[in-house]
Amino acid sequence: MDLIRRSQAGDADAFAALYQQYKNLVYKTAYLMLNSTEEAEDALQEVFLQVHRSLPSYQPDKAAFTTWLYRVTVNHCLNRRRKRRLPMLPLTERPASASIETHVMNRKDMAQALSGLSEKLRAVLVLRYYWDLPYADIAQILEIPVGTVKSRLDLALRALRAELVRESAPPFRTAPEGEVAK
Amino acid sequence: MNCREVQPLLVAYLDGEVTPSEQELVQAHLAECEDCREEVALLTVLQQQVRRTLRGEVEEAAPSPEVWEQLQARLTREEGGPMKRVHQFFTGAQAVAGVAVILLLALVAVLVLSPDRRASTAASQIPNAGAADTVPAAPPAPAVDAAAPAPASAGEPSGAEETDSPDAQPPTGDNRGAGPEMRTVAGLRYLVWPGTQCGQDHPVEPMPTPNEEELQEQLEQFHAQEQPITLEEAQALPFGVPAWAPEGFELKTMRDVGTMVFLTWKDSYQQSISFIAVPFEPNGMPMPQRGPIPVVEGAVQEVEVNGRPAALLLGICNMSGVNGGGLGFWDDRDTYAHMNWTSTTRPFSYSLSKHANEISVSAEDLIQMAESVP
Repeated sequence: MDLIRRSQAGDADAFAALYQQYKNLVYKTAYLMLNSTEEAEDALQEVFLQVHRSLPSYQPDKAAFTTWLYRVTVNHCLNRRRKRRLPMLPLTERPASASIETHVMNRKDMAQALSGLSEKLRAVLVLRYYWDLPYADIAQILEIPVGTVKSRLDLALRALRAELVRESAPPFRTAPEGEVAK
Repeated sequence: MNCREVQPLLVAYLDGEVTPSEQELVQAHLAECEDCREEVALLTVLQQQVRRTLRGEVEEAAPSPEVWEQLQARLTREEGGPMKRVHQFFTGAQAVAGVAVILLLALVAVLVLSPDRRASTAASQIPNAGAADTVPAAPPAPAVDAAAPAPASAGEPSGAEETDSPDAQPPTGDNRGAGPEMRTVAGLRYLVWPGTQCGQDHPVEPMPTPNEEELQEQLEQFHAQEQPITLEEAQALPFGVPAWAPEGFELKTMRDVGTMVFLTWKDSYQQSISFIAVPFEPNGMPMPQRGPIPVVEGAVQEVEVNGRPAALLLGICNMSGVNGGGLGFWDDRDTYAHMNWTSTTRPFSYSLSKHANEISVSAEDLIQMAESVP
């Protein structure tokens, strides 16, 4: 809190320390949202620029600093993806496999399925399953009701499951032995 | 509880985010339902895998030291030193922030839509329309709340923009010496500035600066014109209203100022979406406009609403502290977005504005809402 107060008062050293303390929070969130080192570094710079500009208006009694920082970061990433129409690049080629269990155990497939989610669903997953934030905190960060956090997480996991099942289906049905194409 | 009732609770149950009574109900159901137990097992594996995958993706990720160096250089370049300018910006602006936010949507509409269209007022076509035919005094451009302007980042230039008169010159301020261009997008004129500053390209008569009391009075006047309305009641109005709104938003109020009608949706956080309907002559101009809307390059793009061209404006020109000339700053925060289009079936032009964060209402949501107008 002292760092924040000093930064609000214009102390450049305090702001530098604030950056060091929170850069990973911003960078990792941005990386998980944007799937790109370069985009995440851009986001880190833009978010701290915005923090620097808005610090004088930050009111600690309204929201914790980290809540505010998450909010600025997530909003920035959502805006960035929309503006630049960022494709969520698949990390690897999807290997062929036959069952959801196989897919669920394959991290690369999961990464690809995650990349296909909408920004809104990805944001709640990152905040919940990377940062382990309680639903109430996620609701405050995203400025949505707790019920919406619940429904988005439910939707996100079901979407992942559906995607994994869809991708595990064979690309075409082979005719059973003896069946003749008409 | 049956499976249909239990399944939406399972993720929250596994996350330990259900109430004690929900937990009891879920556990009782799981004790006797094999299908739901299998569902829980699968969701558990999915959650673990999501965790592992996300952690794996950023395991060794770290920003390079150059980011801080570049950030420092940008902060140093800020006008008046790193902290000084923002302190000046917020001083004084905070006092009027609340009022400015509420008036924002009205001001945008007043800027865009001419108040001279009395002949075919929306009021004459709307039951119970009798509200005062006044609108809050409008500055030359929409003002925004007390937030520091963010730098305009490169957006997607719209290929559909038409350049009308490329020789307009900036009045004052630094926009790297380049002037704005007048462009028309979906029937509306925009003054497109090349840098991060924006405003009118000619001196504007200064508006008297209201004090806090006057602002309060304007705010009260603004609220006095509002009346509660349900979606069902609104759907009986002659101009058509959005049948769909983003999750969490509910139609709350109607505000009829004679020349146009405002409908406002709000969520539990008081974020808002405002819909404005204004009549127009079917064979006349697509939408009356008092003056060009100041924007920066990339902020306005042409989109489609049910196959008709529409203008989507991302961000807003922040003219706080600029009165009677000079340039404001482009605020590209995703809190603000605005779109205009004309009906395919009725003699009305429409406008939708949001004052809500991106995750609650995205630009795509705004388009979807526009397309739900019958």
